Amino acid sequence: MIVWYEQLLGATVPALMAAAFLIPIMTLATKCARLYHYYASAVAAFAALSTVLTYKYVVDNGTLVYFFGGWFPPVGIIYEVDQFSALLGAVTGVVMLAITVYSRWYLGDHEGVAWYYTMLLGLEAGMLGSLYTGDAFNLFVMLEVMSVSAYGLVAYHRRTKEAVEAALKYSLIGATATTIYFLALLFIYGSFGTLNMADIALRVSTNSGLPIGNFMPQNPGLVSLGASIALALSIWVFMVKSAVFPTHFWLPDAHPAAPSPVSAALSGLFVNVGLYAIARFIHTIFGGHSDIDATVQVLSYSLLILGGVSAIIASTAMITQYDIKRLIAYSTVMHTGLIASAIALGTPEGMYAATYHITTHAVGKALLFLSAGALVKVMGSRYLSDLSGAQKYAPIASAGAVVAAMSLIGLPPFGGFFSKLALYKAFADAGQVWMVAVILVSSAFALMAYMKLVHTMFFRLPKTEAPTRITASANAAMIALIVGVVVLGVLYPLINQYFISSGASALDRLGYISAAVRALTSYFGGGT
Amino acid sequence: MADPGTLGLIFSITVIVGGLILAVFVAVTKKGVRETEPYLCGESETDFTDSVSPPATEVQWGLEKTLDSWVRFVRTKIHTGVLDDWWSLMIVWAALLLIMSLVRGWAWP
Repeated sequence: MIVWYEQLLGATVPALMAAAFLIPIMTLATKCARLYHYYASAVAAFAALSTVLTYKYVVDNGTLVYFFGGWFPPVGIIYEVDQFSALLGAVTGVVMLAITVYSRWYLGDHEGVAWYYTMLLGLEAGMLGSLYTGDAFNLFVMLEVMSVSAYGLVAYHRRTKEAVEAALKYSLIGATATTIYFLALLFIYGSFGTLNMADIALRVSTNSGLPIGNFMPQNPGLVSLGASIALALSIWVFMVKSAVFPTHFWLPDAHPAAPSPVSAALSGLFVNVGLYAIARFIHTIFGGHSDIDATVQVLSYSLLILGGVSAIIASTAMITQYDIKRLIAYSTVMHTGLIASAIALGTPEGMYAATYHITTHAVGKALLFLSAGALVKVMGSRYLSDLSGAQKYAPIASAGAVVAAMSLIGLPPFGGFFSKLALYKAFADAGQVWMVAVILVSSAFALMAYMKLVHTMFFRLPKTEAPTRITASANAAMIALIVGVVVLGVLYPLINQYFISSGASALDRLGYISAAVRALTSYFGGGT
Repeated sequence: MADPGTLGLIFSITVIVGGLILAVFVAVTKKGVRETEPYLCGESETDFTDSVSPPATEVQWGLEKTLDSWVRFVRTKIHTGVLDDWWSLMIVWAALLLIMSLVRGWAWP
């Protein structure tokens, strides 16, 4: 029997994609920009509600499995949502709602509003599909959906050379990465005869698959070799998507070139998909006591080191920036590096810290980019020196920028402080004390970089009058995110347990496998 | 004994409450805004004249000067902005990953 929560989970991503593709058809009937604003906000509100309800269901009842079109695994595509993916999905849904509401003011009556929302909803569909899917090939499709939308959104200001160049570079690197992931899928299918994630995890650990459709080849040596190659290729691809050194070069060009709401979505949410996929692959699917555990350990240790290098290089680049959006983009590289290192630890503390920091970074970074976008639009320039006295004309945006910066630096009582505290503890407990030093040094550099912004906004006199006013809806979006950043810190004792259980679910390989087996048994009338 | 998170939270709330009390005290006791001209000692200090506090950019400059060689390395060797340079680093890393996986995968049973 299919019940409402399964239908809701199954409907969310297809509904988002259908809503996105409906917009070009709507342009044949009307060019009214306001209609597209309201339409996109309503669709984003549905997605936010759906993702939050899905998360609540998963917390209360355990992993949710949905068979698309009634096709059972490993033949058909399934969505398998545990607490880890459900939490990231809910964060994506809620932050995307704030971004969509903000977009109304940012874009106004721009000629490309319809296309903008087509790609923005496509981006959200791709991100949620990537987080929810339980099928490695469907992950490839959803990565493509979100990446293609992202390329288009980066090139949105297509009459500027900067946007075109950034989008070209980004699309070349991104397309190469997803093609290599396809190559990895060939190795996975050749090794295990399946692309269902739970089925792969089961075959990796027990050499036997789900009760139906067992096409397992019988050569363990070749299987472990093929799986090792597939894992190495996949990790490289996910590092590109999450912008971890040395595969991060596209990000500082692409994110600033995009419209600011898109920068918020890309920096706050898009990179999370890559981090999620790294955790899913090295812990849930290929982790634990499997034949390829040695490869997992080598890759994890490499990721740990590169995450630290990423944080140091990006924070160094931050202090030399005079373009506010580029400064924030480098901050994203720094934080994804720290999160990737925490994921690489493979401990419950590491995954808890990673999950918490992904959430605080997503909300804080989205707030910072939306605030920066408002400041840039009001003051008419992206250069820090031109934002003198910006707080006089955009007080809420200025307050948002300060709150977000303080959270990202790791100052109490904001969410970033507690998630960084969790990172310190995870690294120290794992014996990786040098990573604690990396966090301290990179945070100090970030503090220096953000102080330039704060000083310019609050302690310098305005040079010119600012003709643009920020509307109530845009201010409301920023205030909601400010509240989010504060709540993630102040309510730490109450919400802590959710991050602990979400992080732990990424390490619970047996739980992930048994949820799929249980759903399959139930489907064929075996009860739950 | 409380965990570091709870201690941090208690500390934060204490600082915020203290800050609010201080702000209320300052607001209540404030008689008005006193505007003064910057004392320039007869020299042309243009940077100081358009700001109401010493510029943080001076500290910024000092830090950049200290880290000059490292910053220069990051900007000229890593973040060159040239796609070919990026590819070379990315492909080297991909090749290293593959070699590591082949060695470990082959060495395993």
